[in-house]
Amino acid sequence: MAAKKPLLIIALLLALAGGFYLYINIIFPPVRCEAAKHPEAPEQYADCLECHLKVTPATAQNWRESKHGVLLVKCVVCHGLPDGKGSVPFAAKPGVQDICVRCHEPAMKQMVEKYGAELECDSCHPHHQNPMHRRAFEAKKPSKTSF
Amino acid sequence: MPGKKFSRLICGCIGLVALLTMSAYGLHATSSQEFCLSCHEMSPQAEEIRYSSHALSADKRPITCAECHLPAGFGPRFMAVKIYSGVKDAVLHFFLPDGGLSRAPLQARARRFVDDANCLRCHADLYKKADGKDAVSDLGRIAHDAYLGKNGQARSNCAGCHINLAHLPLFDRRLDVNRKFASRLQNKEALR
Repeated sequence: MAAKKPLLIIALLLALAGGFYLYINIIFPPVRCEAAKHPEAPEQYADCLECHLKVTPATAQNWRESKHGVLLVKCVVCHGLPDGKGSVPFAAKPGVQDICVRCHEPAMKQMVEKYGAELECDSCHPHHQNPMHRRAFEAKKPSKTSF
Repeated sequence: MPGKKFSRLICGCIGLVALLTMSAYGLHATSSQEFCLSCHEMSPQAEEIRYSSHALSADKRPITCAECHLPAGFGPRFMAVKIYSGVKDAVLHFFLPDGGLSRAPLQARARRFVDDANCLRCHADLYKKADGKDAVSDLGRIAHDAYLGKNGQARSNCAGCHINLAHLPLFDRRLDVNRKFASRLQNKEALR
């Protein structure tokens, strides 16, 4: 019995640590609305905007008024599909070198020649904020259209 | 040997009371504003909040770190976040002097542990602005409908959507939504 005591204490400590880890992940989940928890309704996969007009209205509206929105470059083109079956991987923050480059390679080459290498397109061209008739890096005026 | 047992019991009780008092004192002291800002790592955050919309509460009282970043009370939620963030902060401070201080991943971790109840204590009506008079914007109304489950199903917590309310790192100052806050910080830097 005496030889088993340290083992018992270690097991107890491990159980405590595991319990703590579980508890904190349940009350404050690390991922709330991204891939892991995303769609409970597979029939809605193709229509991101239907839900995102409700849950992220500012982002949805910015996209709709942006060059991407006007040209109907839909969410899936950059973000992929939640089940991972799209032509690009499902990601909340698509990578520059995997995603932007697929369409914008010539422009990206030009930019690198002119200004040197910039790691993230997003640092000058904020996501969903590239208006039709202004330059992307200028401040955007308040929206004129509505739902 | 009843005498020995009894004295052991007394010692145990005194020890327990001392431990509880000390840990309560420790928990209280390590949640204070002075303690949070006593590490040099927190100086950008301390500067930024002074120019943010969350510098003062509605009754003109400075808002402390713990009011947003720790769940209220001394319950299990508080203890869980206190232990987690305390250990994380100690590891970052003593073992990862520079490597762990990239702000983007730190922000994500901080947002995860901002308890919605803390926000709702001041912002009880989600359809009114903080002053309680003006209505929120159309976009705000739609998003809060989704948060409350009336229309749509948002799973984000408050801090998941409302980012850069109290702190604004350099890489987010370019965003249009942060224009007002960023200009206040820029003016301050120019004055210095």
